[in-house]
Amino acid sequence: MIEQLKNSGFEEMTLNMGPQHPSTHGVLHLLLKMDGEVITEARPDIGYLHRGMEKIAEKRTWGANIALSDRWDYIASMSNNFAAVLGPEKLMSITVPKRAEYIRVIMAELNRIASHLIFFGTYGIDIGAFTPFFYAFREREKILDLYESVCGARLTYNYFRIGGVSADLPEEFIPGVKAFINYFRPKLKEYDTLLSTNPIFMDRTVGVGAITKEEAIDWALSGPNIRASGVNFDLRKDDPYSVYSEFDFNIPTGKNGDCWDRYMVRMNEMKESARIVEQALEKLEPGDIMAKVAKVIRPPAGEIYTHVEAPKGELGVYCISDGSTMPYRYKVRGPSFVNLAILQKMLKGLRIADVVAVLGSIDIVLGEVDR
Amino acid sequence: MTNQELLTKIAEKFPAVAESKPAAGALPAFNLTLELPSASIAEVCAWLKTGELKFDYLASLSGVDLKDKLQVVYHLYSIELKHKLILKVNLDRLNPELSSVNSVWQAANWHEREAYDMFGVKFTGHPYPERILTAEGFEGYPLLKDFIAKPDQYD
Amino acid sequence: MIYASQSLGDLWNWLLQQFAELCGSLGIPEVIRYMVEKGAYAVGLLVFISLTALVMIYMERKVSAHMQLRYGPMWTGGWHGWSQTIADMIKLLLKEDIIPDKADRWVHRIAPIVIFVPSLIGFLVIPFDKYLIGADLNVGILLVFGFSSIAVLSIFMGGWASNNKYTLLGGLRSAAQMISYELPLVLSVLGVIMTVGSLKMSDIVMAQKDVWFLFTPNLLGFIIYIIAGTAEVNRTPFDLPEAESELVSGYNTEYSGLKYGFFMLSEFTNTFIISAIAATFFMGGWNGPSWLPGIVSFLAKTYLIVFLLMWFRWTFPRLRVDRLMDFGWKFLLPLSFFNILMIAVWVLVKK
Repeated sequence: MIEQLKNSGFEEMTLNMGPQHPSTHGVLHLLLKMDGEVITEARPDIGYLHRGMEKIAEKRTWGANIALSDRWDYIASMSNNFAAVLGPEKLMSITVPKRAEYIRVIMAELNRIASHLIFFGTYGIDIGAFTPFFYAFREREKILDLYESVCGARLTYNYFRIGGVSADLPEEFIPGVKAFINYFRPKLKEYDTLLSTNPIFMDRTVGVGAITKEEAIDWALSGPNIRASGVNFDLRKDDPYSVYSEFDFNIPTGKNGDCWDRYMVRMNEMKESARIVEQALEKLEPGDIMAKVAKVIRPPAGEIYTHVEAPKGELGVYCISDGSTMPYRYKVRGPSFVNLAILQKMLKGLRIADVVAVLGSIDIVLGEVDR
Repeated sequence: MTNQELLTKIAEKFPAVAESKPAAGALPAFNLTLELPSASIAEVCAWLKTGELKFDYLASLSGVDLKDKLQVVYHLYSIELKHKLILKVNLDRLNPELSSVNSVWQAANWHEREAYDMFGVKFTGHPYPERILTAEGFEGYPLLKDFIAKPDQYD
Repeated sequence: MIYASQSLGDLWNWLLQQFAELCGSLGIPEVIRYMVEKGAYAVGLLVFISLTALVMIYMERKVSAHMQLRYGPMWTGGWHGWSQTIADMIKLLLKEDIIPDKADRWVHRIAPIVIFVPSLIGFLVIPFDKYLIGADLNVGILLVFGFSSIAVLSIFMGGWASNNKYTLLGGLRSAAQMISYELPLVLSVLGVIMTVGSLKMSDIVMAQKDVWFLFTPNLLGFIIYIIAGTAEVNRTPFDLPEAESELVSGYNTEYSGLKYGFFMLSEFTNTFIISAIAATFFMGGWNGPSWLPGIVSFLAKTYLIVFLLMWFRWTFPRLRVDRLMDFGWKFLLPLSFFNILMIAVWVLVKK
């Protein structure tokens, strides 16, 4: 059909979506070849936010790299911190005190909620509903307030340290988290009323951009994206790090791997994260928050690939140490980077309205894609 | 499956594959690390994925500049059997060339482009072997240890 | 007497009579009297339209803000940011008027006028109150729909002339959407027209003296009308022509300054017209409690519909273009045919 049209003088339209476009979540550039509104070829063009993180990391001490890690996935910096400290800790065989471990888990899970809230809000905007955004940010604000009380920052926390965390919890933090969890649970129902079961929303997302199980594994998707396709793959269970093996929580999975499944997996994950936070609060006991670590961090020569389950998926750090104060190689495997790659395959045959639905449902942060 | 079992299974099939020895004074790797000749990478990977070991998940593909040679490191994982494997391929620093594993794991697509962008490793058989992260017209391979970073020039 | 009159319509009628008497005594020709009368009405209408736009923009900002846990403008002018819209208007007036380099300059220039003028004409036949109607034509409603369909042309002109792919897609979408939703829109009011037996606006209002058509089998027509009307004025969930998250801003992406202002203004005037017709056709127009002036009761009903449309806009996501077409042609159109059939039977039975 398209061939015939081409021969008769019609041509495909090339649409540059981005890097400045309201719904490419930053500076993503999509090159779309289109036949009317239907996409025949899509090519994501990334790198507009490339800051050479991996090169910079080779010239910074191990400790300084934690501050750098805040800038990968800048809406889930706690998880980045987590990934950044695990490697050197394991190389130096540091045992992190229990209290610090629980604090880390609380922070990471709260961050998961915050990150998924941003997804919920921006996904609403992608689909055309503006209001959920403000609802999501109302709740996220409370999490940021909690973070601010602990580490003084609201976006780039730089809270984890090799061997523990930088500061103990202030007095008001634990009641604050408990109050937040109690406040947050009913809000999830509100979201379902507002967006999740809205017929138009379901019409836009159910069956759109479906990824099969095999494809999801083949493209090495991770996080909610692979779980929505029915693969029960969560590093918190499959390769437990920190103290995650002590908690009782479920891994929500989807069935069809379409946009709605990816959305629902995230919504359900927030519930599970709230459960983990509650359990961690119960287990939290007074104690040290830092292990005894030398002032100058000099991991022995060696290499390690550590990964954490960040809100977006598997955040891996492959670090090679040559025994000096700075990493020899510091490779960051950003989940957004890997998840985004499948876009070029998914978009074929969809409409331009589906582009934003699919892109939003993958939930990328360009800071992590481009690093 | 333990590391030893994995090693024997793979060694049976590919005698050229050897366990990677850490450098003097370095810690042993935390997972089974194999070193293999660059020519056999596509074949080994295809077998690892489709064979009984079922390494269906390419978690990460990184380039490493070891000053005297380049190395490409594959971190593999099996979703079903839950075991891990690290593959290492040494490349000539002046003319790094390796056959692409994109046909084995689609995930390699962008990882390989990144490795090309950062280290100049040419992946033969890659469907779209272009730079990915650096700007258009960028010269040099920034993650090589001898790359000299110049300050950006603005008009 | 003025004192006895309860509404603006009676006042207007009284003024007209006085003026006619004056003209008669001075011997002014009929033509001039007619022109002065209509001219005065037109000037009043223009003032009303600009005020309506101001009020509606302010209302949109406040309604959306309160639905989104915000306050909206709070500072400009003092009380709850009442003059924010005026400030916005001044800003729009002062903005640079950009025409893209490769645009079709004349079409690009004309498009905002083409969309704005028909929306003004629509106001002529809206019965604000008894006697308060610009031209009580015997084809009243046809005039409104006839002119409002010109808006498609303008949006398409704007989308095409901007020489931008996003605007082109927006223009194409709007052409497809507005033409396909015009049908259910017209068919939905056909039920009312059949019940009344007239296309004249005042007849339709008079027919609802006792009971609004909303509470008759015409309810289905009302629902169809609201859905199709929302699509006709390109508001969420049918705002595909300007779908922000997909097409940046759709057909008006390349417009700035006053010309953009015209597009925005016409969106609000069209919304008002659609709501006003809903109030006229289904909610009894200026009929209301006797102590309430007719125009107040008319405007209250109109703004209720306007509020409903805003409510839609700030709670619903956006439909996809193919689903929109499916919905229009495969569901709404058959439904409106069914509605006509049902009303026909009802009218027969009532007789």
